[in-house]
Amino acid sequence: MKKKDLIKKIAFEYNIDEIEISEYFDNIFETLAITFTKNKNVNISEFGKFNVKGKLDEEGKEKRTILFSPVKKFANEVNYNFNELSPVQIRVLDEKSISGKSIEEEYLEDEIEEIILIDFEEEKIPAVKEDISSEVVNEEEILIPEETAQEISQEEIPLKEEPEETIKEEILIPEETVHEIPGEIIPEEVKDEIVSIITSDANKAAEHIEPVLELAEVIKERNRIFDELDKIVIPEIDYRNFIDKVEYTEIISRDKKVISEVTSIIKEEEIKEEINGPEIILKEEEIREPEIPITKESKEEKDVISIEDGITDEITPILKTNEDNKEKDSQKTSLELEAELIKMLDERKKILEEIKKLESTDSDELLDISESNIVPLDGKPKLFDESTLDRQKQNIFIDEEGKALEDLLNKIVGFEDLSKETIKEDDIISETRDEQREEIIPEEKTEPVKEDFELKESIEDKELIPDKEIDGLVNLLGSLYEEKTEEISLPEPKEVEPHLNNLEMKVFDKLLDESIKQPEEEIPIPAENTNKNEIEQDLMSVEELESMFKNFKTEISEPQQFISEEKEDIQKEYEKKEVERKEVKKTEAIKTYDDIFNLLEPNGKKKEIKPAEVVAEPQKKMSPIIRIFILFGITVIVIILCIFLYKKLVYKPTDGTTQTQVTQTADSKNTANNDSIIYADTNKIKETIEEDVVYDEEGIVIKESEKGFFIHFGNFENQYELAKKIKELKDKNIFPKYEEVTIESKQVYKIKLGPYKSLEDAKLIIPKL
Amino acid sequence: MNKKSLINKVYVKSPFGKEKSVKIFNRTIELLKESIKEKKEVKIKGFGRFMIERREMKTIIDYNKKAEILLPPKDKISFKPSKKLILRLNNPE
Repeated sequence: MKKKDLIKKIAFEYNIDEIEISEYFDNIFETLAITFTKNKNVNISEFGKFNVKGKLDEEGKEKRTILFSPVKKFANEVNYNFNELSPVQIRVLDEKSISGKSIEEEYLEDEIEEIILIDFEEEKIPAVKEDISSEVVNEEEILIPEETAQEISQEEIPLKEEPEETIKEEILIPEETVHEIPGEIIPEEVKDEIVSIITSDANKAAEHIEPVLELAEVIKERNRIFDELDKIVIPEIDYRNFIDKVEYTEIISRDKKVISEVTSIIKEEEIKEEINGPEIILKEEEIREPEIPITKESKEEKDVISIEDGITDEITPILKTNEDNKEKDSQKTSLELEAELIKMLDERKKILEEIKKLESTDSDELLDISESNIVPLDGKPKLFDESTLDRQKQNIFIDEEGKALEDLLNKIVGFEDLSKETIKEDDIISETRDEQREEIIPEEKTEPVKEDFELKESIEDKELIPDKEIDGLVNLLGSLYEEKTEEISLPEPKEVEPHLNNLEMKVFDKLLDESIKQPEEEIPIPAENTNKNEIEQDLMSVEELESMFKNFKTEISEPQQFISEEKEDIQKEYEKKEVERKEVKKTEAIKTYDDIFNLLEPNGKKKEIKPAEVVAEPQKKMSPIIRIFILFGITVIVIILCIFLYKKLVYKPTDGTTQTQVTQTADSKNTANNDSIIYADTNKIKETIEEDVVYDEEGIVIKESEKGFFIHFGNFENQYELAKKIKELKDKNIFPKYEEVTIESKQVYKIKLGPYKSLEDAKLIIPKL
Repeated sequence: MNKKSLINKVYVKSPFGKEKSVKIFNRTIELLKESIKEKKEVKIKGFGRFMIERREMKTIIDYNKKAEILLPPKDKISFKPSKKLILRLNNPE
């Protein structure tokens, strides 16, 4: 494309004369050239930047040139063939190899050496003879194809380049120059050598010509391919781009192959180092990998031998062990097996005991909760919990009849088979658990018994149980609680005064709440039943027990009578005791907290203390914000009072002199007449410039000014006294004026009369005042 | 020098207005771009010519990373100023 084409296109698009546009372009490029001469760069947006740069010649002169750096977007659009490719890291270099050659050169040299060796062999050939005989030409016509023959006949073709370089370039880098002029392929010296060899010996020539002919055939094929490619029209992609891409991908793939081969070799070596002697795996691979043509029979034989040799060494010991075990098992008697099993069970028991100890230590810390979290330690499933059965033993199965029940239940439920061996060992643990309960929470025993069975029996059993040594409070509270089970009416919780800090009272409140709530609520599940499945099992077992108990009564009729008679006797005794208790309780009925305190400590020491605490608590509830406000308010009030008192008592203005003040206070107490004089003196100081005193007698002052003579008198602190005086003067047909004057931070009222024309006129009025 | 300042200098001498001169200038650059993308030479007499040169693939050594890197081939834009312009630059009057 040229400038003319640009001008034509634009003139066609905008309908403008070509001459005008050509002038326009000339202006543009001239201005650009002028800016370049001034060493200024030009930046055209969306196109690129023209930079002027200078270099020094060998002579020392500057040589300026212009470099064009396009915009990144424009450069990427141009390089659409190779945008996908990105630079690749081939290998990491050591310090030695940095100075060495690049990887591409090494690859190329390996290929070149093979070719160059031919040339060196040819160079060793003795010197050339320039004579050319007619016989040789005839031989060439036979041996050499047509094109080469023509080339040799055409001696006019100039050939200057050395053979080594040409061969390198032509073979390795296929370019247009190669196939455009195929005559240049065979250099001049080679031809001369060929001719010389042919002249000397025909046999030798044949040996040396063969590689040349091979080259010629290769070149022919290549030229043919390029000719075909020239005929094919590929509008967008040149074949050159394609070849470059292929080469680029080939090199990368070749590197990967090399790496994979190297890694495989290293792995094999490592394996060999680890395992001494022959291996199974490598043998198989070594036979499979090489594809040497071997007959099928031989292959099979070798495979079989190798596999047998290899596998028997390693796998047979494993098989042998299994076989030995089987033999031993067969040899063993049943007694030995039992002994082994017993050993296993003993080990297991030991482990379980250790675990139980750990859990028992934990249970001391958690008291209430730990017992609920205990899991049955034996892996076997149990229909009953141990603890429930122990309770039942203590509470129910004390009599001989109960023992009969036990036996029956054990037979029916299969309790013996599971328990007799295990529970005897586990009794220790159950005892420990019971002790913990009795020490800490004696109340829980009553609850589960109520659920399943009648109250009477449970209470009888309790009475049989001896009281244990417990701390004072807990014992007392426990006794109260036992009394409540016998339907004692307690005060409602609303009457209770809340917020008691003592631990004793807190415990007491809890117990009260529990006593009120628990009998009303549904049957609480015993605390030991941890897992839900176990709970369900236990509930089912309780129902079964009840049903079995009833059936037992019906089946055995005769002993039931004895039981009933004995029970009646017991009931009568129990009723008597209840009556006695109720009589006692009516006297000791609990109605208020005062009564409870009396029970707790009959001396009544704490009565005086606790109400004081109850009063003190709501003060503590005062939020800190309110306290801060109150303190702030108090401080503000105090500050205001301090300021007020300071102003009244301590503060004095510094305007007046001290001497006048002293005289004032001294005189004002003695006489009132002197007061006026003093105040007049003070007014003099202010009004000396305006007025001059002319007359001064008995608190009356006459002053002279431009307007005339004025009379000043009076010194009234109150406005009421001033009004009196003014009335008196008005009755005498004198109309005065009054002024406010501040003396020593006090407001004082003065009367002013005038103006009079002369001093005598003023003096006439004085006696009327 | 910017494109804006170049046009301000040029449109004073031309018979078109400023708006039209800006349009023509932008259109010429578009045509230049299109012709370069098609890998055709653009010759402008007295100024120079825009070419595309191929840089074939080659290896590079990063001495910071101590690694050999193989760069892919690339089509580069190259501007060759004309002889007249180089004479002007080197022999300013």
